[in-house]
Amino acid sequence: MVSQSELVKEARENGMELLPLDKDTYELFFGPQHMATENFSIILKMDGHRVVKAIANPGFLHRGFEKLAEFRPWYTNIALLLRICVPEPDVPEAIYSMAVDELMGWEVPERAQWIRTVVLEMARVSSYLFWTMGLGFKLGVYTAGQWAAAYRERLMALFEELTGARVYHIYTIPGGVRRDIPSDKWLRQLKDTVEYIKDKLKDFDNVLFENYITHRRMEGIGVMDKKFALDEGVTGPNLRATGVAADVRKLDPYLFYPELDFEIPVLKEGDALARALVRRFELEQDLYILEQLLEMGPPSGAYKVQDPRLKALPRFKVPAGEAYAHVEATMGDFGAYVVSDGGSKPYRVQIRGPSIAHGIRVLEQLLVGARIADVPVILMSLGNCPPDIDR
Amino acid sequence: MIMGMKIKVAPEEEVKKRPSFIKPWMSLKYLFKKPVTIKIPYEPTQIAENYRGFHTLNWKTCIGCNMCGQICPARAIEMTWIEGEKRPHPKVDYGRCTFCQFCVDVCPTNALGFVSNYMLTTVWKDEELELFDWVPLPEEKVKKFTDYRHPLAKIEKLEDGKVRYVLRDGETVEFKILGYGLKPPKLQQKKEEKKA
Amino acid sequence: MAKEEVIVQKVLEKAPYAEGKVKRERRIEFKVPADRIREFLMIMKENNFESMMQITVVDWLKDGEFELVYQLWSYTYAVHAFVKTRIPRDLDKARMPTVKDIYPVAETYERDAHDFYGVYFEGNEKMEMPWILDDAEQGLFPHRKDFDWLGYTKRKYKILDRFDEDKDNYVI
Repeated sequence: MVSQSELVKEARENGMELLPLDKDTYELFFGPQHMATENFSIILKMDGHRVVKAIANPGFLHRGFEKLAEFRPWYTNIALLLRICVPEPDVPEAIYSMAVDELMGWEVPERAQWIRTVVLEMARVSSYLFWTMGLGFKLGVYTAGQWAAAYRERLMALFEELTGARVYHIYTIPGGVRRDIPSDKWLRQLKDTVEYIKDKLKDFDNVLFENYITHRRMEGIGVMDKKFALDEGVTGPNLRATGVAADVRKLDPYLFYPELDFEIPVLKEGDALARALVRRFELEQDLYILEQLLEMGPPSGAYKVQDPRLKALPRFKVPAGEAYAHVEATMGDFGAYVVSDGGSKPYRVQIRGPSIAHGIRVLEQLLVGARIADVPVILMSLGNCPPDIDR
Repeated sequence: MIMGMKIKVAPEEEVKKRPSFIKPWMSLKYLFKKPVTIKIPYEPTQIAENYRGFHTLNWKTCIGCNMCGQICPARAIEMTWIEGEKRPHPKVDYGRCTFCQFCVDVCPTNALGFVSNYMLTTVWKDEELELFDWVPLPEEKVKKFTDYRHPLAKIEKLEDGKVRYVLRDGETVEFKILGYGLKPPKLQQKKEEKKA
Repeated sequence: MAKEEVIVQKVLEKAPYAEGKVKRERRIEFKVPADRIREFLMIMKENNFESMMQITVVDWLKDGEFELVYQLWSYTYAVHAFVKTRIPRDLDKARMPTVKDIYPVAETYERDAHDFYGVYFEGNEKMEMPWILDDAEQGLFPHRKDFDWLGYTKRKYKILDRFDEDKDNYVI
């Protein structure tokens, strides 16, 4: 048995103050086991139930992906890098593939682009449902959370049919995608699913987004303004909730997005509620985009680049140079910077996850003055995903 | 804000929602509806036909080129020399495998394949863990098990490097493992003798 | 003239010490000497590059240099700018002035670069604060190209895997 005084001594040696700091202030370790933080820890200095100071403490999910990617052949990295983003693993796949495509100078066939767009949009829908689940659980509206999880299951089944795996799809590869669309039946199933989820959106509104409790809990907490958001590198829905009309799909269009018609939601409040409502509207728009894509139908042609260099995959070489590709993920602007020295392995890969901006400095500043019960809500409204920070 | 570009922005009133006391109660109607979940284990789950599960290997067409070993991101594949076979065959370690199936994609003779069996579970027995480090068997031997479990019941280790794979329906496959690696084991021995 | 070329010209007029070019549509690149990076980023911020996306460190072992790529994104022009600079990669010489007063978010990126590459950003008071790595790994700078990762793995986990010895093409 370790005595209390020894524990305190050890804590002191490691720079931790477990004792009350003074008469009113004490230190609270929020995470990494706390469900709301998703393996991410925040050290909170509390005065009563108000946060005085917050220090984000990442690193519990560090797996060294960027270093590991330097030891693996170009193709194989797909099976590695997608693990950076758990709710939507198609995003790291897509950005890495797009960057390699640019380095190779490949013109990806139209059919592959169409499939990539569909996969990205499906990933967005499933990620938003996942987020709705989290928000529901954190606000205590468990009904909405369980619905979202159940409806997401339909998309998982579709992904399983298309890619052969449920969560980590390993599907988008440089030069196209790995498999063709299984059948017309799959397209019909996707259409049914889109309609099904669209139907259920009204229920989510009733229970979660138009709920009086949600509004009371989220209104006016975690407020940020436009200048602060731009300075702190905030992207995605969080930026749109502060009144900036910005979306990578519109500003730096990729794949099929220039041909699609969709609206982006912009609110001026910049509080947790605005961020939630922006996400709610985007979910609806994503379903609308999927409908448009299905109406368009998959273009005919190959689903992969026809290149003789692809025959010897392990020794596949990429010309020297560097490329940056980014897409609009549900959490924000996800980017990949890939450097090649002409070898059979990447020289440097850096993945820019949106949470590295949202989860450290922004979170630390938004939490000041918040109540302890609002901490999970602010975290969830930022859409913080710790694996992006740790990589 | 954006120069020379028009971004379609949704009207604010469409994005905003009004709080309501009554609407949350509307969800009570679901009390009288069927659940959407599947009752495991009383109901079976449906796995997609092309689900990436365990490997199969056609021993006749495998040329032992080690392409699968080179592409494997987790280094799960090791070439195994088997008595009576001219070329080595891959041995897959499911303790490492990430089920990305890049090995199947690169196989030049399409000898490697996969089935949708995926269950990687044991019942508290150490020897069962050994099942998940095997030289994949031909497709017809693996495909007859449709309950998504691993086809092997046990691996018996006999004398002088012989192993016997016992399938769950009693069928057995026996072969002798000479060694591992890219080069034939006899050559390796000679080299060691020379060094000594 | 394309908008990218206009932006490059506009910036280069104010910063004659830099080199700039258009990489492709919506991607521009600048090369700046390391001692003038603060000055240059201030000009970039005035020219509507509102957001900093990331700071990438590329370790060019052969040249003995680190390449620091400050990646900026302009919501006004929808253009991504790479601002590149080179500094020596020796531990005592790999020092840069911080840019956190220009782009506050750079503080996080600088901590990241310091933890993994050992680039010290002067003026960033959070430089010594623990970031992702554990105490035991502090100061090893594992993302450098000359980091002995195989030796480190053996020391730390005490596993001699069959893949360590007889393969020349390592993958951990």
